[in-house]
Amino acid sequence: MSGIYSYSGYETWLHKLDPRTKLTFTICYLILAFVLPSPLLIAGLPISTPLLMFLAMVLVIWFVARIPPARYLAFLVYLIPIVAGIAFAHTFFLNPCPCFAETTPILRSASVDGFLKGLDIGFRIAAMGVAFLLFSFTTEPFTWGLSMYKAGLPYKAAFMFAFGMRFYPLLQEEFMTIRDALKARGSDLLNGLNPVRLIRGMSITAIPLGLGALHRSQNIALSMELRGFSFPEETGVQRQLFRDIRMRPLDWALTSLCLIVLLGAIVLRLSGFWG
Amino acid sequence: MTTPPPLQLRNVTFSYPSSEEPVLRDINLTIKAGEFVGIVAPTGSGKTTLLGLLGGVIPHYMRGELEGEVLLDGVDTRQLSLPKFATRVGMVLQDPDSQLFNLLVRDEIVWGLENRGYSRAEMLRSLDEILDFFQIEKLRDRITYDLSGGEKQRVVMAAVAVSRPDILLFDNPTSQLDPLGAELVIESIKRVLAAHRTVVMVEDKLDELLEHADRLILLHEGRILLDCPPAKFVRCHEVLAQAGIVPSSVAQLSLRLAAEGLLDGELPLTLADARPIYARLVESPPAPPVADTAPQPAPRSEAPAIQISTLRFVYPPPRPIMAVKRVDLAIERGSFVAIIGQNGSGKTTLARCMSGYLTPTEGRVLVGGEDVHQLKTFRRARRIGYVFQNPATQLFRQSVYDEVAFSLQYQGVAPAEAELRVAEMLQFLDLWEQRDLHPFRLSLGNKQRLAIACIAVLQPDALIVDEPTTGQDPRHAIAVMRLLAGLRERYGTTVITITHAMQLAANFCDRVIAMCRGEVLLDGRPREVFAQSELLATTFVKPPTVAQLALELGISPLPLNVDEAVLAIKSRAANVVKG
Repeated sequence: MSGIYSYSGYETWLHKLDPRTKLTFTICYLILAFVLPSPLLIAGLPISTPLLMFLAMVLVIWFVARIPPARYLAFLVYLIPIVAGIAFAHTFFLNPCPCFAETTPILRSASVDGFLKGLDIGFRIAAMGVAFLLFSFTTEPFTWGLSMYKAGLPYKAAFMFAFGMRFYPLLQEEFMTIRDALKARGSDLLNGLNPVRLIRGMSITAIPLGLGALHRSQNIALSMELRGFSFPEETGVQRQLFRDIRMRPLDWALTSLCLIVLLGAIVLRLSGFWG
Repeated sequence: MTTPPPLQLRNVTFSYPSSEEPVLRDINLTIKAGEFVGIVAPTGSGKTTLLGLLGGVIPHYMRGELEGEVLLDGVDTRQLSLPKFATRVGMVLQDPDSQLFNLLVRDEIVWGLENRGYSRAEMLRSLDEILDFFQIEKLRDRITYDLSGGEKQRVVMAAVAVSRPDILLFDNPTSQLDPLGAELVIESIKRVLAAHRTVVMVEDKLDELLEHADRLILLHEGRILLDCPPAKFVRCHEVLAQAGIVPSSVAQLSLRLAAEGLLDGELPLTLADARPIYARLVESPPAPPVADTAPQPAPRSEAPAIQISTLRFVYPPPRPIMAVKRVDLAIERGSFVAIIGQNGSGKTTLARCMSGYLTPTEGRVLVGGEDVHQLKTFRRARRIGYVFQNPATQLFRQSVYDEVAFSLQYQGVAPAEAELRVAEMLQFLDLWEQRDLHPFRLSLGNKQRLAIACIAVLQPDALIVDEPTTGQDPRHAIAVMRLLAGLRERYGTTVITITHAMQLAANFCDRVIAMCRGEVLLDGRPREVFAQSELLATTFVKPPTVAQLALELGISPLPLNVDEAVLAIKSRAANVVKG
């Protein structure tokens, strides 16, 4: 079982990029989602820019990183109520002028601009979500940790962060077993989208999941100590790294390109080029 | 000046802060250099605590009240830090998943060397050497969580041994592995022994220790009851019985035949030793067939409890594995079925398709005549129950009573009837006295009973139990199987168990289904299936030890347990005398 946050393990050129390059790309992409004008006029039709960015990212994950949307379908499904909720809130909380229709009081208080703005914000959040997916699917957690260590984070903190990413799928797997164990008792509390039932289900599973995680993390911490995790601190020996990461020409080129595009977009935005 | 022994415990008594009584009492133990010491103990007798003391985990990582001295090379371990201790003593724990924290095997193995400040060149050299030593070169660039259980445990062993500790401690290293995985791990331990390292191993499978250990220690209720060579160890029947230790089948057989006067001198305790001695004993034509005392299959009814038709299951990407290729099966009502096969052979996938958790890619499963995948969850729970391997993931409530009652909550059972059913089930499983306890305060064996009770109280037509004996000592494993047989007898439940415990399958089940690469390799009564040892080898399954021995000696019909083997050998030996 592999979960949303697990490394896909494929060997595409995207996987081989330095984590810092992908992090730069992700950050630039996130800022662009807010800087670029929306909607864009394509063949005379107004198209939501965040929606386009969202779809483009899904295609990049699919065809460049070779991870089809079916792999993270649950994540995409959970985005639907989020986007819909934000659009709904904006529809009824912004000035309803122009409104959807004058026929009923509800439609009279529903703002068309609010709806479009809400969709824009919703898709911005969705785009941020898939950008994070691209990063986590293609970046091995330990090279991610290594890049953080190189950036100055203490080794133990960087390693634990990377390990946390590795630990998450294990917890997710345990959660699935607990969900199936509930089903075996005839309970559907952790199935479906009813939030009240889900909350009840989660509260019931908190004990086995929490105790399981505690037990596992205690064992893991012990194993780490037995393999010398605290040896450098105890003895003053300098920790050495077997693996190293370095920026290759392609990394530098892509990092530069990302920064140039972002800078250009900010300049155009501030200069009022997009109105 | 004499060199002090590598490890020594002098008058050690230890209590955890939460325990009322000491876990270990007055322990005196010396481990000599190059020795292989096996520790045998029933669950809850302090073996992990003892290993923790030998490995420096106590008092440096786990706290408690420690009296007496634990000495490493003559130095009190209180004066050493755990990281320094770990350079001399390596420790391999039970669960490989908790000992792998890197993504790639090569990173996992060198991680300890990174921490100890080895240079990159030294790490590379040590990595190559240790991969070669444990013969796991092909795993070098693999992702750790994609490995099988046996591969994982061997990687852990390599990661511990790479920093060249002189002493290696193993805590039940094979208890959670399938037979193939266990065999690979034992092979690796043999390599460690051949390299003259000192090894201390806690192990439930006595066969392995009898074959390789120099000395065996029996620990019971925190005290050392026996400390002697294996040959002497197995002869101490009364002490072993008092501690609830079940000797290996070959040892039992040898002792029984010695008692019958058919064997004398040094008794063979392992399969390898037994072969030539027993071959001499049965050098005669086959005796008349032994009466078949194995459980009889349930009488055939018109409709099977479970009908599986052309079932196929393929896991979705990114790892689209065809776990079940094409399976057609009919499981009769009231039968007790064992599904066996190596990990990855499709057993669990098949069982999960049967229980409705996985929807097959093709084919269908009828339980009591109804398509299991069309049933609502609460109805399905009444048709087919599923008990998972780890009881801790199946317990949700605050008391044993509530835990069992919780299952009936979704079934619309009237409160009065629910009370009756819960009480009956708790009494049947000997859990009534503990009904007010929190489930997590129960022993592992009782947690397993409770997990079974929670499903059995629904009175499903069929019950699937996934590896109920994994991680349990032999006495508890037998108790769990007895319990399942009892459920079948009392409620007529069809019981299906996925198991690696061949002896238990032979003793309790009336049908064995061997899976291999997603297909049914063999299907029949235990005696028929275990007689096909060559076919079984393709799915890395070995018949029970007694049956293996009988097959090699040409004894027919195949004895499946010690009682049957004693009868068969006695009969053949009698023929020799007459002849």
